[in-house]
Amino acid sequence: MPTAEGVSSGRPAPGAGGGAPPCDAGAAVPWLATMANAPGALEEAMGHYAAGDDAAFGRVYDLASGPLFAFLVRLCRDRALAEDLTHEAFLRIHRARGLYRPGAAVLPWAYAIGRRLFLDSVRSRRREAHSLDEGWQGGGERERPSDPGVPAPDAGADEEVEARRLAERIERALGEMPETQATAFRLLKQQGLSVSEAAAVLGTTEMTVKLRAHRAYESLRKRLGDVLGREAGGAPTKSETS
Amino acid sequence: MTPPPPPAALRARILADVAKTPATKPGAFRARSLAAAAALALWCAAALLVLGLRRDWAELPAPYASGTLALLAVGAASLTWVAAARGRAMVGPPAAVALVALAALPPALSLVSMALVSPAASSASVAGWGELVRNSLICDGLSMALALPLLGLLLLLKRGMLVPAPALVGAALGTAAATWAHALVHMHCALADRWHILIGHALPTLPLMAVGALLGLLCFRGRPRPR
Repeated sequence: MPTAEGVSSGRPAPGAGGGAPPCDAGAAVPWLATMANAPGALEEAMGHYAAGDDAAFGRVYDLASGPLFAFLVRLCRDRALAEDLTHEAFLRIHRARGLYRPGAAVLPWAYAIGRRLFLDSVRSRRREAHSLDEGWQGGGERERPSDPGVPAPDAGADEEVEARRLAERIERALGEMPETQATAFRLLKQQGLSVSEAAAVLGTTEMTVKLRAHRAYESLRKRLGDVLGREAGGAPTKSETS
Repeated sequence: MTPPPPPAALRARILADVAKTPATKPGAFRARSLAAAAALALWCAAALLVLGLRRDWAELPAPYASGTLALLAVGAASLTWVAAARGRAMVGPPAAVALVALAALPPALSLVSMALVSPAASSASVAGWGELVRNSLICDGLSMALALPLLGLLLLLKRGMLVPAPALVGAALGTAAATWAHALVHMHCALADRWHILIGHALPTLPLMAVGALLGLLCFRGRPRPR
């Protein structure tokens, strides 16, 4: 039976924000709780699936879809597109089931597929926009950053509103950064990957990931210095501490 | 804000699509690897059969003949292993490992093959620069002809796999193919001139690295998605 010994599962690390941006680190996330209770479960399920157990795909989906979808929503800032990309990413994982190495971390793989699909969709959009008349608004609805989250059930409280505003400012700032910097930051701070896992997702060295995340953090601090200083106490990025 | 979980309907859609989408069979990578190893061995055997062993092979001291060959083969196998690896997260080798392998192994192997020239192998020394260049170009062409099919084979081995650093992995695959070709040319060419070994046997690594990087970009880089 495939095991995940010695291989990180790519789960959001304790204390790394639990898959949430810095503004609501304490928010309860059901899929995160599932993951936290089952270290290596995703790799085990994927191992069963790769070995020919078709029924294991449902478990793979249940364990991986939450983090992957959250990552893609943050990356795209468009729920509809994130759903499309999640769909396509799982199809690719399915197509590559026979290539899976037992025990290999699944989430970094899923993130890398999702990021690749996102970059392809951006390229596709640029190409389409280029081929259309100048008067066209370049993908209007899809290009417009949408709400990266949904209101919490008790939204309306001042703190919730404040947190939502901050999240929107962070997402807007990340959206204006170079994609590589923003993704490095997202993988480390929002998805909770280790530096080596983020390097694998981005296809680069750990040093480069640290540098990109640091630049992203510096950029955020410049833009949101007042709020970050209050909320996070100027906490260094994970990259700075590792 | 914490992004919401994916909608429940998405699960049903994905599971339905998965049920009707063909996938690689269980154990596909192992089968591919074995097939690639067999094809590599066959290609090397066929190349040696067609080209023939160097004429002074039997006279060469064993440490030189088999030692250089073993070093080249181990180097080529290591580069192949690094470039073709699925990695700990299914995204290929860590970039740092691939970079170190690319930067260190080819120069080291070139130096070794230049340094280990046996006195017994000087049966065909080079008369002048013109002859050196001519002979070296022949070996360059031979190396490229031997390596390009191997590069294609290695690219096939990685078909369908996610490669976040396509140029780097492609360059590593090209270098691995070039090193296998270097080993084959070493067994065929009897010229013992160090400059010839450098220009004719080791130098093709550079263009093959570039071709590998280009093919890596072409094969592994994503394509714009139709919307």
